[in-house]
Amino acid sequence: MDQGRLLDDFAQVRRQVTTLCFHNRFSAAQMLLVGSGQSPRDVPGLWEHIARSAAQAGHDPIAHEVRKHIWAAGGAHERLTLDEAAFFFKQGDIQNTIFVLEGYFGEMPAHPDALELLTRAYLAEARGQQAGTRLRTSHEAALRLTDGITPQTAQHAMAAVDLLRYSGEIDKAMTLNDLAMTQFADDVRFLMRRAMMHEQKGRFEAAADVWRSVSATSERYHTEALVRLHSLYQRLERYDDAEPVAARLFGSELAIEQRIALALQIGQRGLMLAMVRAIASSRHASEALSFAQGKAIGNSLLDHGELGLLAWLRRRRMPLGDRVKRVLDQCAFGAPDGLEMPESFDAASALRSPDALLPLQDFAELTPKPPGWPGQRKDPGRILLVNASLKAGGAERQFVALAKALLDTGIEPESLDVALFSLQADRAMDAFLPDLQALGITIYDLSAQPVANPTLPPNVARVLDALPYALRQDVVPLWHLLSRLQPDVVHGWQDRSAAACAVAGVLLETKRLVLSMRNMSPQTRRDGQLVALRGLMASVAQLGHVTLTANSSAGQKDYDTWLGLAPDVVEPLNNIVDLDRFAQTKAAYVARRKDKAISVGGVFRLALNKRPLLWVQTVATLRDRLDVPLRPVLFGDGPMLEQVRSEAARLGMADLRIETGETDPTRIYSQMDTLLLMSRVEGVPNVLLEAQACGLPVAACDVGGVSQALQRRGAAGALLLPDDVTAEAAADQVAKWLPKARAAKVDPRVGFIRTRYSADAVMARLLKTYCGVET
Amino acid sequence: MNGVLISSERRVGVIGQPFDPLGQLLEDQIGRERDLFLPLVTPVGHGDPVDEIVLLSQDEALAHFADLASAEVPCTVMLRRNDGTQDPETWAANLRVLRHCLAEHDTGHVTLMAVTEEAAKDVSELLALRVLACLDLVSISAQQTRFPINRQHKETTFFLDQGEDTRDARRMETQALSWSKLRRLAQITPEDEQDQDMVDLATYANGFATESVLPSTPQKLRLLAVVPNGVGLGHITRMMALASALKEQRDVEVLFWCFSRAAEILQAAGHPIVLRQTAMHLQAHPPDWRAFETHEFALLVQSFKPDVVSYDGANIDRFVFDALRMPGCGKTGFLWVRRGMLRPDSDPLFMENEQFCDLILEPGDLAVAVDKGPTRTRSAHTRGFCQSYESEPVSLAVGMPSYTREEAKAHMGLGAGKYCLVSLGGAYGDWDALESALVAQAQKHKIGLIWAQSPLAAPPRTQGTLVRRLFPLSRYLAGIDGVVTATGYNSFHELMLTYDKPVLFAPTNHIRMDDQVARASYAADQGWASVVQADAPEGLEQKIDAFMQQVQTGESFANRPKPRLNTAALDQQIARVLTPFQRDSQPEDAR
Repeated sequence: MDQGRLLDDFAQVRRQVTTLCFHNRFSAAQMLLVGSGQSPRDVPGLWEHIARSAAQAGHDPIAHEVRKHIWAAGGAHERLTLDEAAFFFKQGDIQNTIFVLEGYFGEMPAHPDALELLTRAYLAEARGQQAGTRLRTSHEAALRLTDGITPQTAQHAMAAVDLLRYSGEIDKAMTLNDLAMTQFADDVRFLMRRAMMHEQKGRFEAAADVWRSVSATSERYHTEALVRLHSLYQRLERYDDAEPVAARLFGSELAIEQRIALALQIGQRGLMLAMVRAIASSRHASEALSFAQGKAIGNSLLDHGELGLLAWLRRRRMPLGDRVKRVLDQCAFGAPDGLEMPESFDAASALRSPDALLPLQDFAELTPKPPGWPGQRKDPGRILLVNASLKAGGAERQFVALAKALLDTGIEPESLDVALFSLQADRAMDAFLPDLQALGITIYDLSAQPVANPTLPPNVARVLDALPYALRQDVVPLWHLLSRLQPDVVHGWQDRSAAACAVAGVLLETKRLVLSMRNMSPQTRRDGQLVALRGLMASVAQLGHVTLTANSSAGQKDYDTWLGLAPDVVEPLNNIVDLDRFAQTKAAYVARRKDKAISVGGVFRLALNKRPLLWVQTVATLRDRLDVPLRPVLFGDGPMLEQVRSEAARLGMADLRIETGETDPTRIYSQMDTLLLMSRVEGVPNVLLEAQACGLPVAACDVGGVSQALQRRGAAGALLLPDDVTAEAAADQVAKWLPKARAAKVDPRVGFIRTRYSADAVMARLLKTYCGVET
Repeated sequence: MNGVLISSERRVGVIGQPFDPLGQLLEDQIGRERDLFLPLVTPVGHGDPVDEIVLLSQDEALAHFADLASAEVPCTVMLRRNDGTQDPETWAANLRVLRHCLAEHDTGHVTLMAVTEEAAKDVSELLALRVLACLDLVSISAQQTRFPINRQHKETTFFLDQGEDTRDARRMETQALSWSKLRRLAQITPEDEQDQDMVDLATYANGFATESVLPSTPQKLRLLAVVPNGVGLGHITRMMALASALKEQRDVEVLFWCFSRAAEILQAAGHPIVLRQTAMHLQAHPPDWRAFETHEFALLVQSFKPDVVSYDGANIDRFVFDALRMPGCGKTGFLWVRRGMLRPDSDPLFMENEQFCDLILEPGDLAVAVDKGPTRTRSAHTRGFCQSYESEPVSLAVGMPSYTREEAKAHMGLGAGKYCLVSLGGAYGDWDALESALVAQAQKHKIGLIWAQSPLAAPPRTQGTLVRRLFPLSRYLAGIDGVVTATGYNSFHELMLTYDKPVLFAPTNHIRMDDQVARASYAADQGWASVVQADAPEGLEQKIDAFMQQVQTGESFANRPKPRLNTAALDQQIARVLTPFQRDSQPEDAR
């Protein structure tokens, strides 16, 4: 065959391919090439022409088919690879997107388009794995794909920022975001990310400022900004600001799924029910919802445990997402081993998780245990202590003290583990981490704990998938950890951890569960989210191997009442005070008593319940009542910080010193000569115990477990103020009491703490509980 | 116009929980006597033109605020005090958000109301807005019975005076009755003082009771009879018989809400009917069907305004009670016509519907001596305010005009000779053997067989048998020399009370039906009739042979009992149901 003929033929084929592509007949063009023997290896240009034309015309599958042939023929190159990866990405096939990109460009592509797509793919992969849990991106991928980058597009920059911030690298994300804000100055989405990162860091005021700005300037994101702003105002306890924002949202044409989410967010269940009832009462309304709306509503309701409403809406044929449908199927409504199918909307609204799943052991179809199980032990065996975090708080300090005290009883470090739901440094969740690490025990950060096999047994998934979001977030990683460690004793610290330990421990049939609540039930302190766990806690309290404790008699009584238990079912577990730690502080105080000036101190969060303004007013009045110099000092931070400063200025207390970052108790108590608390809500305040352990005279209002925490005998006795005391009256009483109390011996105070709150006193009882011995 | 203002019916849209007591009390508000209450989902875009909209709580107002603000008719938002299920701050925050919403929109058409004067003052102070108290309710007679209520409890126990010395402890679901009815039966006493809303509602509902007794005016009785799609014709004929009996005592207007496939019988008798379809007939999604049926039934109740709603049957669908708790539907008595003689193994759960009823009328059964069913041996857990009355047997045939023998035979197209009617009812049971034996024995004794065709039964399978449609049967009985029949309440009593010729009972043994075997056996023991059973084929031929012999010889059964329904006593019972609703009055200043 001569060369000219061949060229003629090729030209003819090329013309025909071009024509066919022009007429959108891409498959025919491909068939023509195949039929004429023109393989991708021979004429890659023509094959790519078909692929590009098909892609441009929106015929992605054909384009993909053609590219596959080119790829198989070894014709891959940058553009082709990017097209192919973009195709997979568009199809939601994230694994193949990453495979194609990394296969050709490597794990850190130099090509900007490839880097952008790979970054977005990793973010999408994390979203795909979210499945009702918090979004967590790969830490390794986040660092790798963002190191030293200069994004060319806003989309790339946003993906990179998100990849970092959801991996816990908030500071790095903030830096990258700031750069992007300069580079893409008109794009409000970077401003929004800044606000979100402020929130992640706990800088709520700063975040509120940004959201206010977004709501004022961006029409498109106005609603989202208002929703965020409202949430922040609530967190900041700025209810007067939050309510007008909520009104603007409810008075607007906010989409129904957003209205429902907002009602749930602000704790207005009646409002949510009114909206869901409207959907459920009208077939037109329920069937008119788009799938995305139905899915969003379903997820919101599931995350708030509204199983009955979901079953009801499903019967009304409202579109629901796969996750919700799966959970409802697992609950087996109407089946003999499932939940009762509600017959009315009201009945449906009463069927909520976790109460509907109780008793857990039955819903999870566990084999009943024999009477007396698990019996007594000579030693506790392996212990796992669980708490939410190690942030700078009294309960967290007690948690560390508990771990230390357990080791001091002779328990080996290998037999004691600690798990925390979060240790994020960016959010200051690790304040006591060095103290805990110093004990030489293993510490598990449940937010970053790798899970080798995330699959749950069906009976366990049935329970966990149906839990409200917050509880589910805690229980799932805890269940995996317990499953791996198989501890003999699980000790949950504070309500949140106690609830998670209750669920995970019951499902894994842990032999001993000790659930240590603190000093006030969620009902008393009006914690709406935890109040919903009443049924769960009351249910597990009935189990023989579960012990509930509180750290004050007022707390015991409060929890007994809240849970509807017989008196004293909740057992005492006093706070632990490390007397040795305060020995030097005590000696320094005794020496300092000769000074004329008195340093009046307060240690509390600057929030409404602690009445910081009353504290300032009392100290200001006290200054007039005493003829010695007063040096006021406050240790604490919180939403009322600015108000406290203003009030101090108004009252002429310019010398009020406010220390916001100090956490070391020895440094705190060494800077005061007396401690004054004016809280309206308290449990057993650690600060009162520690101050007395230092020998300091203390005064506090008679609320919660305060009276139980005070040594009140003799001249060294503490001053117990009425709970509704005014600043004037308080100052009068303190002025009368303080000189004598300051002059009295310190030993009665220290002795009181030693007898009731030393590690020896507390541990003896707790170890018996761990071993299953009656206390 | 002679100074007389004739108010026209207004359509009031109600948005809120369907069984909210406040919504139920709307119909008792002075000035709303002629209002028609329509449940709405949203203030606008519902398609139903309304003259006014009432939103029953601040939650409803906030949930639909954008629509509320743009509504073009007067709207009333009921501001409710805290019901104790949320903390006071959350409750107050909700109201404050609503206040902000109202301030930011043009809401001159919105009126704020609270349940009581005290609540209005309380909420008004909180919001710094004008809040009115709800309209006065019509006066009712003061009640001695105290009805404790607690939102957290599904049921309540109370003591019902039964005559001078007797007090009955009764239980009831707290939401079983409309509050417009409940306030006429008892003084409502809230148990939880933290539930301020319940305290308000009880104060409001009880607050217009008076000791004065106003003369009740004689009135026409409006009866709305719900007829289920049951087995046989008993439900229809019993209700027709009862209506007929009551008409002897007073003017009665009856309307049938009829699911029965035999509705044509009612039509033929000249009764107005609303023909309905069950969910099964429509193959409808049951919750959708129930919601639709509730809505439609409630509309009929509001427009027909029955004094009594009645139901004949064991299992009452929930839609009936749901409708009677809808706004505008509460002021009606409920009569449950519930025959006895259920099978001993029947599930007694259906009896829990007693709590929704004012009167259970048990039509007497001649075989009551062998009644071992749950209505005889068990008591309902929740009886509410229900009273029971057992009447004499009820049969449409008694007192009905009938043809002479010649007329009857002529109407049936029968020639000379003896004829036996076979009426085996609604096609339950395997009657092949019986049918064959009947045909054989009839031929042997030269007796003609007539098959009574029922609207509910399949055509007979034996070729050549005469088929006649005979309703009411009693009219034709004079021309018939013997009857072979199933033993449902209706057939049994029709024949025993009005017929003196041979009867052969072939009881049906169906799970959904009454204890026909016991009833038939009892009749046989008393010498009133013969009996054959489908599940006891031995001796079938001989029994039929003997029966045909009786037919051929024209044997008479004068020993069958003949009790007559005491219609005056029945009317007294109905009057007792009506009493709470006949003493309504308006306060002096409102009249």
